Amino acid sequence: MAKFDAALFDSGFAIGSTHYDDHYHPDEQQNRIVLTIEPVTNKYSPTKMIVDTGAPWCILDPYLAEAWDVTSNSDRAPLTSLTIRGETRTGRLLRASILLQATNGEDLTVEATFFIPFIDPDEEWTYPNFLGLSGFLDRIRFAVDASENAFYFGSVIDAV
Amino acid sequence: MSLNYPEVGTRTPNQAPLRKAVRQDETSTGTQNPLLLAIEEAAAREDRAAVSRLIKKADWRSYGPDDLIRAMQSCLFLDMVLVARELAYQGRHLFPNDKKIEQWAIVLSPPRVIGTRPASGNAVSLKASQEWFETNSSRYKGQWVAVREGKLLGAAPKLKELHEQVGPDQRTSDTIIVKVLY
Repeated sequence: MAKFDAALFDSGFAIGSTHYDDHYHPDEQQNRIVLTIEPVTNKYSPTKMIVDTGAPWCILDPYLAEAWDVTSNSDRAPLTSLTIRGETRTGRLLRASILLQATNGEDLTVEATFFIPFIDPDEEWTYPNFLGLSGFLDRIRFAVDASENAFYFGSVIDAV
Repeated sequence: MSLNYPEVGTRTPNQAPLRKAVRQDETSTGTQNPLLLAIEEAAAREDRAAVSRLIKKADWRSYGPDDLIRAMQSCLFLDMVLVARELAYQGRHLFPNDKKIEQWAIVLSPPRVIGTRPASGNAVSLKASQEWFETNSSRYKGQWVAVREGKLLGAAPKLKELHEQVGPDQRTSDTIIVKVLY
């Protein structure tokens, strides 16, 4: 149980909390908030995603997007481009439901917008997965307690 | 993370990749409409105020769905998600039967909380798997790995190869599948 579960759950700020990782991969020299996110669109395993308030959309590895069944019937999905670590990539914007797993309290399911980049055949996507602001974060409440890597979350809409 | 660039952003100095992709997309009309050119030029200058002003001033009833889409793409070049969203909603009102506009309106809509449910009870398994990643994942750089309850189920350079090692019955909500990056 996270230290502020009772206070934040009772106040209605949060409905759940979860433990987050500090790093997306082991040799990173920078701390991050890395959550475990589960797809709802398809029965498949969760993956790791970095919380990034500077990213407009959630970004998912295209191979994982296919496994999650996010990209089926995506031929007409809106095209846009995105600059990721200085590299401009083109891709499609797609909608998919994901689940934020709670360590304590309740899980939260959110329909989010993903940027799924185009890749060349046999190209591997070499960037992390991200949870972006306009695509995911701006309809949830969240708070972070770095002292115990606790991520508290709830919905901005009370009646879910 | 690069120190020279923001981690992620829609702003790009080079719109060529998107323009090329749009030309390949059948939805593009390729019209040389003065308003759209002015919006795109303002976007190229990163003049958000001009883009916003041109979009708000335009009477979109005299334009087609593809014109609205071009304007929305210009907005997204500059991270102007709210202006693009407003335009998508306007397009939905003007062209209620247009499937492309409807798709834009859907993806530009705010995220939607669908529901809640009691925690799945995977916490112990996931915590053990997180610890596995901290300790062991550096040995699997560049590979896809599947980990459950702190134990490695499989590792492979390609996701489809991992799927051959880890069948559908093991790809459950208490298994984490992730690519270990360099």
